[in-house]
Amino acid sequence: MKLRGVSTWLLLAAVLVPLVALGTVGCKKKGPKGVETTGGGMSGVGAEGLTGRAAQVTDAQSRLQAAYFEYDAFDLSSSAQEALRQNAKIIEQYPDVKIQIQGNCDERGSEEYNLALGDKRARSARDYLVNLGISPDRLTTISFGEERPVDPGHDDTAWAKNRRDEFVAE
Amino acid sequence: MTLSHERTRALGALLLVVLLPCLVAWPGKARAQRRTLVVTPFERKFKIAIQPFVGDSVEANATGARIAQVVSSDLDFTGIFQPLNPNAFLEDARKIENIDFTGWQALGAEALVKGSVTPETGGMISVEARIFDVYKGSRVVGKRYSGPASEWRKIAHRIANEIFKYFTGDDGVFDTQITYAGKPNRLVKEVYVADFDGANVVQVTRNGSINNYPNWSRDAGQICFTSFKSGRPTLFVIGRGGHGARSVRPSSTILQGAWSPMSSELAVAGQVGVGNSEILRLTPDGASFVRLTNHPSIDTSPTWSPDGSKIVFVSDRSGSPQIYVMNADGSGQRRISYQGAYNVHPVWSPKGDRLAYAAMVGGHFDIFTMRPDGTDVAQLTSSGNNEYPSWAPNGRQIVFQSGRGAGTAIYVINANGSNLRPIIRAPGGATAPTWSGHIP
Repeated sequence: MKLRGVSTWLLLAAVLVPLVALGTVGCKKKGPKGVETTGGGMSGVGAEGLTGRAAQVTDAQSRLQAAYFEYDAFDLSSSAQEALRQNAKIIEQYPDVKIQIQGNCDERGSEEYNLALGDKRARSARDYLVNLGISPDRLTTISFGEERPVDPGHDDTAWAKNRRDEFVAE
Repeated sequence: MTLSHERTRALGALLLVVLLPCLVAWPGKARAQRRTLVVTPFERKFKIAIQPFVGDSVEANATGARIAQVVSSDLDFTGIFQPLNPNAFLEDARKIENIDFTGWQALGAEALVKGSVTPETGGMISVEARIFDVYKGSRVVGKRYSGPASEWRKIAHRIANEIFKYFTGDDGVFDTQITYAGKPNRLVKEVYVADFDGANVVQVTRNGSINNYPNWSRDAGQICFTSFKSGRPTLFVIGRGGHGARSVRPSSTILQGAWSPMSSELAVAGQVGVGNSEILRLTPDGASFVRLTNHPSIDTSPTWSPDGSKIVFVSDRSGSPQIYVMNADGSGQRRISYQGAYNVHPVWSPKGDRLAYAAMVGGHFDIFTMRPDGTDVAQLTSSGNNEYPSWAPNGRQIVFQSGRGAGTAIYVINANGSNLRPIIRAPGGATAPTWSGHIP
């Protein structure tokens, strides 16, 4: 999978570098905008590949779902496992997309302890996905602890939404 | 809760007059929920008369008055001294011979402070402080300080330290600072530093990311903290003045770190090298590490015993967050907190005799202390949401974050539960305070 990613990029580079050069000379544009202009205008294989990968990331992102946790827990409930199985299928379909797993906690509990708890939540999901056959090279983890609530409320509903792993395609 | 607290205080003051240092029970619902030793928030204060320091010019007199005010507020801050109202003083502040000790006794003063300010060449001042024991009827301390006139406040803090040391035997905290995390906007946390009493706030980090859990090196010259600056949490070190920020080990995810007592090492929680997130000892250059825990559960919040031989930490290996202790080489790990279902952030007192920590009681946190073996649990706070304790270097006071009504602010309380006072408030809240050692 990794090899394929590299070769795609090499191909992209091979096509794009001359294209960019052309674009810079022809349109007198510089920088990233030049890439877009020439890529769009010439509709080469490489250009399609570029938008294709960006589209893959967007596509994968729209289909990935969060996994939710019980209070002060980082073990995966059956519904969290189901969410991860669904995510694994999606991740397999986008072999060039990498996934950052972000562990989050509700506002209760100690902030520093929750930073460690979020770390565990992200790692639980990572380990589960690796067990399902996803390459560990494609997965990174990060904990935000209590810093990134999705619901700013202070009740059970808000807390349940905030105790989650988010899966960010990149 | 606050009201009943204040009423109890008034009652305490009343009892104090009649019974002097008797133990007063602390009423509160927390007692019903967990077995705690009752602390005595009321102790007799030592009454001290501090006269304005005097000089031979208007300017010297003005400086002298300001010095006396700072000395007075420093001593008041400790909750141990009660500076008397200068309006009641009858004696000429200039009189340093044949002092009317009987008159001072009549005012209730147990000690008396007089002083003078003399301008020197080159913008310097010389300040003399005389401390009298009113009951002995004699001068017990006489000291002379000199420094730039602009640093009169520093001189005042040194005089207050001298007075504190003479009467208590401990060093004062008037040459210390507090570092903490402030929240200039919803998604940003930065590290700040303020004087022990919350004065002179200085912003230390300015990277617009999340910066948290600042922790002082021994000489208070450096602060380590957790930053998300590089995209994920890792440990940074920065000078107290905000210079020379560096990542200790950029390749590692580090959730939190604490300097060892000699600042030769850091205890950290995180993933360093391969494996699970664990507690490790790390050299400050990040080059070498020793893994201390090896457990699939959460292990976090390490801090050191004052002699550096032990590390306390939080683990959920029993199923809920509890406090554990181990030798600094990782051996002898054992649980020490057994009351309550959620005990976090243990910090060792400078004398080594107690640990302070936060425990969840009925959905909110309170500050507790206990012996390092887990016995003799004492509850210090009982109102609001109180977390993240840190000891003053003399062990007499504890700084912590407290949510009471609007936002989270930083408070101090005496180790016996008396003298609760807010010291730092900031618009977005102020959290995670750590008290420095003496600043050279």
